[in-house]
Parts: sequence; structure tokens; C-alpha cells
Amino acid sequence: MLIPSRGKFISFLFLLIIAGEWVISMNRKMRYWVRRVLMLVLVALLGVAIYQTLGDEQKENVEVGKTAPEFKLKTLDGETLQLSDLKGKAVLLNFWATWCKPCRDEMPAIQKVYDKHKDKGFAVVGVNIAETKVTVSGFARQLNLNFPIVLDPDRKVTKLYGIGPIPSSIFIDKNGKVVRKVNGEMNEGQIEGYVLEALSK
Amino acid sequence: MENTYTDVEAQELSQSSETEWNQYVLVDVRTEEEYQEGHIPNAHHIALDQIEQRMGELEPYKDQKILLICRSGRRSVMAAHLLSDAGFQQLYNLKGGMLEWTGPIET
Repeated sequence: MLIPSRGKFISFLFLLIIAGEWVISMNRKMRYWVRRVLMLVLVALLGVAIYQTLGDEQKENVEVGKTAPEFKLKTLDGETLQLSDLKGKAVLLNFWATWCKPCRDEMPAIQKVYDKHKDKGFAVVGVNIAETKVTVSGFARQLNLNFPIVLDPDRKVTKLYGIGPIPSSIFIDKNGKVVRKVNGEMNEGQIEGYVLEALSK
Repeated sequence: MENTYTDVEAQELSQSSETEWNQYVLVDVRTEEEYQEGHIPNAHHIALDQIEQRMGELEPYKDQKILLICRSGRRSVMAAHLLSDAGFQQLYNLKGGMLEWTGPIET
């Protein structure tokens, strides 16, 4: 990241020495200002360095207005689902797990809104986080879910989308752009509102 | 109230691999006699009528997946409700129960 090569480092030191001599050769007032400016530059550089370090850890792949990152996962039925297959549709990506109570609570609402708007170009993809097929299919059957559910066994897509606590939902418009990110449980009204918003773009 | 556990089909689970079973803490809630006659290997035994008193035994497994087992899948649902009321989150019910279980059995 910010580790320069040895040669660069030496030339940097050299520059510093020249700058130092230059500062010493100046009169007092000038010296005061130059010091001040240098100080500011240093503080700014430090800020940039810290920002970059932190930014590396939580890289934002998914931002409102940006194209949602492509992925390819297996569905419960064993087929392959690719996000780009759904181009032209508004998509709700819902990240969940069977042990997550709020995820379970929000499922019937998602199913309802899906039933209502699926013919108008709305698709739902449930992304199950690292659970097995048997568990997930039991859950889907129990709650009568009929939208596609994909399995993310090694959390690749979950990480790609920077998902923290679940449930977490991403609304994507017909052009594949992220319209909205929602953390936590949603109710039917909220979901429908966001779906209409995504459909209108 | 019904949204407290996840069904796991007994048939599907019996046909799947051992790693699939191993993700659960198995808890058999049938009577002592039924349990003695044959149960899934490594299943803990807590009869349904004792589950409230003996819940503490499951406390160490609170953040694991607990799979409740009975003969047909009815008592295990009741157990799931009781455990859910006590704050257990990751509850699974063996749907179809031992009747539909075709995997290994230990006596």
C-alpha cells in the first residue's frame, strides 16, 4: 500500500534534506508559513493513509446507484442462477438463514409481495448463507416459498455484497443498478414500496 | 407463534451424509421406553414431559442448531415451542419423525 521501494525512500529523504535547508535559508515569517503548510500536508497524508487502511477492510462493492455485482450460484433445484439472467427485471436480493428469526418472520411478506408483482417484472432471489440443502428446502417448504433460493455455501456472494447482520436486502432496478439497501426486517408495506420504486426506475 | 422452528424432512435427512447430521445437536423427546427401543446415534434423550425442568442441559448448545426428534414429528413441535419460549433460537424439527427415518438406529 504505502510502502515505497528503497530507492524511492532514499530520494524522499534527500528531498526532505533539501527542503530543510531551504526552510532554514528563509526569513522567519516565511519559515513560519512553510512549516504550517507542510504540517497540514502531513496531516492530510496521514488522513488519507488511515482512510485507505480502513477502506480496505470494508470495501464497498454495493452502493446505491452502482451496478450490482454479478454472481452465479446454485439454486435449491440444482440449477445455476446468474444475476444477469434477471436483467430487465426489478430484483430483491434477500440474504438470510434458517436460524435467523427476523429473516423467517419477514419471509411471508416477501412471498406475498412476490406473488403480487411477479408478473410485472419483479423477481426475488433468496440467498441462503452457508446452510445445507436439506435444511433450506425444509424451510422453503414449511413457509411455502416459491421464489428461487440460491445457496451460498462458502459465503462468497455474502462477502462480495458486504453483508453484515441479516436479514439484509438489496433492491435492484431493471438496469441492474442498486436502488436501495435495507438492513433488518421489513414489513409488507415497506417491501412493496421499495419494489414499486425499483420497478419505476 | 408458529414461526419458531424449521422443519427438516426425516426422509431427506436420512438419505443425506453424516456431515449433514453432524451440524445438529440431536434431542430425542420421546418416552424412555421408546428411546430404548431405538434412536438415532448420539441423540440426547429428554422426554417431552421433562423438557421444562431439564432445559438447562441444553443451555450449552444454545448457539448451535438443535434438532428435535420424536415418533411422528408432533411432540417435537411442542418441544420446539417450549424451547423457543425459553429463548432458544436455532430450533429444527424432524418432520415425519422416527416413522420416516431410514438412517442408522442405535439401541
